[in-house]
Amino acid sequence: MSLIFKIALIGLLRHPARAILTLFAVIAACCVVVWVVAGYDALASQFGDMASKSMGRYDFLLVLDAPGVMAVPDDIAPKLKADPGVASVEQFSNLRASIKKLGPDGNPLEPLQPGDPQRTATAPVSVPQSPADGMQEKATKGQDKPDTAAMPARQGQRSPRKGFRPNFGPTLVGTNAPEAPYNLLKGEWIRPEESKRFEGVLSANAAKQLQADIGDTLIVSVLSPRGGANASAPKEDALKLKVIGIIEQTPMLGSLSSRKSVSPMMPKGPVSSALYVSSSLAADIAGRQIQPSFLYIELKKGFKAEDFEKIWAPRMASNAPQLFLAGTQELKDGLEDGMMVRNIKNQAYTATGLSLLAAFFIIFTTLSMGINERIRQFAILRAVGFTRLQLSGVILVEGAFLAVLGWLGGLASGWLLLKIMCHAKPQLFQHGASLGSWCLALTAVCALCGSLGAAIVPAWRVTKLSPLDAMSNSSSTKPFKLPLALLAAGALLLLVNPLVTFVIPMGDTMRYVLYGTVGCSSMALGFILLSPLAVILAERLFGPLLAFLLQVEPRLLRQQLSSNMWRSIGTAVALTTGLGLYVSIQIWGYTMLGPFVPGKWLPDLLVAFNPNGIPDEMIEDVRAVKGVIPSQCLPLAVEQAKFAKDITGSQERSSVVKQDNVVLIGMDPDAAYGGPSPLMKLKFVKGSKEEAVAKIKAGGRHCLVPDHFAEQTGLDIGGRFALLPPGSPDKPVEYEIAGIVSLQGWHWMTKFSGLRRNSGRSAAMVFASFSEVRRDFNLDRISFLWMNLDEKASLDEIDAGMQAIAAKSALADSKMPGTGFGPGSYRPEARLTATSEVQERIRKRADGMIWGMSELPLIILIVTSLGVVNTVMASVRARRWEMGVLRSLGVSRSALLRLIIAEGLLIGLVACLLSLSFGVVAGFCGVGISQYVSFFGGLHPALILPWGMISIGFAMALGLCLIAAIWPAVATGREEPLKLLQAGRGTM
Amino acid sequence: MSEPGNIPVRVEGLSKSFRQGETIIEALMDISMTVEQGDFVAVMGASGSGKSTLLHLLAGLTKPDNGKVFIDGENIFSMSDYQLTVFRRRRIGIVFQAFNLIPSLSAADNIMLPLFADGRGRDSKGELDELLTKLEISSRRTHRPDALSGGEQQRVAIARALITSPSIILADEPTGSLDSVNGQRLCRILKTLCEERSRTIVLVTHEPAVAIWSKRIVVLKDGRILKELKTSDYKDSHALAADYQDLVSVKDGIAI
Repeated sequence: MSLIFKIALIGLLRHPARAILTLFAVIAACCVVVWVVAGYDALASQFGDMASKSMGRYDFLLVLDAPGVMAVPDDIAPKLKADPGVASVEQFSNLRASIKKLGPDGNPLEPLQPGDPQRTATAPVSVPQSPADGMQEKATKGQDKPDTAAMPARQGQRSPRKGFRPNFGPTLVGTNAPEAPYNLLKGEWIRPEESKRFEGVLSANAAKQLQADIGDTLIVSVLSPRGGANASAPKEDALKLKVIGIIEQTPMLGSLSSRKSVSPMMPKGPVSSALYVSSSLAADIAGRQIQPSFLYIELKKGFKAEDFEKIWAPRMASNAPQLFLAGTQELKDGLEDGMMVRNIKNQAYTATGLSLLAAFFIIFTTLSMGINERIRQFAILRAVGFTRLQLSGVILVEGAFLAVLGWLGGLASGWLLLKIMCHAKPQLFQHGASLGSWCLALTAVCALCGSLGAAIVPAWRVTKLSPLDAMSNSSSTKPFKLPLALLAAGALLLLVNPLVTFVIPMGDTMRYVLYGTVGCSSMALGFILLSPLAVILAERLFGPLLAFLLQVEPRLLRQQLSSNMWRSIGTAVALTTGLGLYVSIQIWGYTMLGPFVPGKWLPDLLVAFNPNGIPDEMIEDVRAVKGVIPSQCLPLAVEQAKFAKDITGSQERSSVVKQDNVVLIGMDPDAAYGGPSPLMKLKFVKGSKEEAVAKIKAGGRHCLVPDHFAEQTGLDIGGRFALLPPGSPDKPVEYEIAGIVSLQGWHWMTKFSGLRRNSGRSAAMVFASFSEVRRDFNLDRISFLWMNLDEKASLDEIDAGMQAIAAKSALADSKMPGTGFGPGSYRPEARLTATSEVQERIRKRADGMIWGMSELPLIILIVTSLGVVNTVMASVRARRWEMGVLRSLGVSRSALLRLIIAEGLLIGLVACLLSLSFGVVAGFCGVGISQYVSFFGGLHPALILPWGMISIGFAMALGLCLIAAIWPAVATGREEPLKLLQAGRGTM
Repeated sequence: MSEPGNIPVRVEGLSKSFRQGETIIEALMDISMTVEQGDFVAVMGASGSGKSTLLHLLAGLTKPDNGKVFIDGENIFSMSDYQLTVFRRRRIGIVFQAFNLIPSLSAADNIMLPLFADGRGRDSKGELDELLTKLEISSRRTHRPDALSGGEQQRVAIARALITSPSIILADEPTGSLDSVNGQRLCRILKTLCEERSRTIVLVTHEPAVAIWSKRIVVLKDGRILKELKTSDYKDSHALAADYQDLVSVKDGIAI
């Protein structure tokens, strides 16, 4: 056994540079895992503490666990109070309001938003689920997720036009709690029993967001006509109150296990950014009686929480509506289940998987090269009596050496790197950084499994040697023959994922599971088996081109890679681990993004007059605003109405195409899309434009629907669906489909423009007759206008013009229609949504997010480029005498250098070829499976290959290969021709 | 080919040593010699006498410790590496003992290698055909080295050395890997080249049966020129061998 160890060690030390490079690569791979996992470990170590802080001074939290229910029933609190173990039950009501600090000039200040300079990241990296998902809901780079409760507000002084970005502010929380629920950092708590006190306490996050402190005055917007039920309310539009205290609150709260909010607009439980006021003051602000959103329960001393939970948890779960009783452990579980935490966890697994693959292929290549160079040595060992098992043991021990040293080195360097980063950038590691048990486990998997797995095939190869191999000429000049059986197997394996994703009928969950297990792994294996073909193709296709560019003799490049296929495949596949994933992310990301980018059909500008629209007679005023094309400025009748029946299947699973409502837009069909110069140029997917326009004009409630809606509902031309007017839901109105159109990007136009008046999501944008929609939904004023603009129109000038019109249209009665995200301010104003701005924002955000997702694969690419150095060095070493011959025949140093560099670049080109193929297949299947399982599926986008971004990856790979080849090339070029000749003499 | 009046090869005071561990081995010590145009010189000596080292220095494959080498009147060690490489490519043809053919290239491509390096591959098909015919390997032009016999490989190597019409051909034990029949055949080819085309040839060998084909023999021992012999003074290789043995066996003037 010790002899085997000795031989293995000698084998590794034979080429110390190679062993060192391999170790560096494994260390780097482990470092990647350490880096990603450490963030999670640090976060996870805080969960217990955070859960306790979220619970405050209480023992339990009671929240709603039923969709569609907004308030805890009134009878629950008395029932709980009647329990002899309960000390107190305190009610908290979450409300939407506009909350701003009054500035020194008397004008309200806009709250800080995510991305504002003062904000900083709290975790190293986070990975959103998809570009649209991230843009719509999640912050990138671990920023605090703002509460979505506050309405976007433009009170008092008008802030600069910010396009469609919504304003998130603190949540208004009304409570009867006599003491602060959490640690009071400054000042004092409110006195809920004194209803006339206009005072509030901010959570620390809210204070930061508002940049407010004790003594500051806040202005809270009023939702309803003044007075309401409370005569003591002030007459002005907005309520002023003083900040009297600041309490601690956890920076991030979980999702309370897997339960989602009843409404995306209203958080279910405690919020992290809040203004606490007395319940009576909150009612005054809301203009109505408020009900509790959640309850906190404090037990008397001596009463056990477990006993209370045993009794009440099942009772609450079986209540109608269902309620969830959460203790500290449940909050901790909720934190662990939180979306951001899950993303970080997933990223850790991804990093481990990628690093494992990288380590696998690099070590595989190293061990394979070692075997090729020592064939005679191994054959001699066989000749003198070593068994096959002993020989394979040598290889396995070599792999184990590299694995253990790489793992330990990776942990040490990763730990050092974390310490340095904690010191240099503390804001990235606010929760500290540590090497937890999970980190140790994942890095061990990466290094040990990768290395030992990589040793299997080389160990098997060495067992195939016979003693006679010691006497044979090791140089093989036979061209590599493609193993057709392996290629056929590879091609078949490639078919598995597309079959699972697109063809074989099965349930969505089973499809996803099979995709993730069988589909992806067979796809990866298929590409590995096809990699020899990629090597040959690259040599044939790119070799001559490279030879021309680098001015080397193409014949000399002809078999550089295929003459040692194992080495070439191992290195190219290692590079493809990172590059292939990068390409697939780019393809998947931009393809998924495609349907959400506003299409050319959209008019230039959508103007919303908040909160109540403008009268018909002011439409001409809008048309007269400088920059607006009068003939292409149309009033819209807009309502977001629910379906009478669930025709999209939203109750089974909601998605961007499966919702319970549509945004119905009434327009003059001729002016909008039918006439010779329509406002928008719609592409009819089914039905004719002329027939559809004629039907809509004729009456009878005809409409145009988008193609995905038709597909999702199964409705065709002539199909009918019923909508429930919000004002009279007992009187449904039925619409008939007259045409099916393509409406690329309608989602984003409805999201922040206010078109989604009543809820945050919608299944489709539907066009119908202006007069019919107005009549059916009782819309007496014009809240929205769509228009095209002159080429040289200035948006700022148009904005000013529209604001003037909004101010003219102010009404005394500012009753708010709907309760959705929609028009948010309480003084009349115009909100402008320019299509070009939306497009630019989406692209920028998507670019940033997709690039963020690509960081890890590119890091892996850099790590695996170390393998290229090894490969080129081995190749040069194997051909030293050949290079000596070339030099002696008159090939110059620079020509030799270019030849070696060409080989390095060829390896990179093989990786590019493999990565592009892999990226297309993986991206295509990824988009396909998203249609079944992702929230953003259902739009069936056409595959997009973002060549610009893909080229960046390719350029990086080729650049790394070039750098990797330079040192071996320069070192070889420097040697005397005789030394090169003599170096090969020993093997001749 | 050398210009008239130029001595193709002139060596002045050439010395070269190697380090083997702690020991310094003086491979050549102060060698001076000339080779005239159209001369066929054999360099003989026992193993370790420095004959291969001399050839490598003549080819510019390594640098001397001292001394100069003039090929066609040009001091090759005063050139830059690039200049020397180009010079070697165009003016020196080398034939190795182990053939040193590139295994992945065909016979024709191996022959054309120096021209490829010079960027002249396309225009020299005629010269290639002529050489292949002359060396009787036309039918093997598309074969790779591992499909050729030893004799064929060496003829390919000779063709490669001749393709650029060099001033001088240096052959390092060219018959070392051949049987006696092929060895003699090779020598005949070299002799023909010398006589018919006035090629200047320097050939390193330890075999009298090969050296007899030359016009002049330079005998090296322990890094120095022991004696120069004229092959015309010997009736056959056996006589040469006997004299050669006597020469190399003498130490400090005493026959051993």
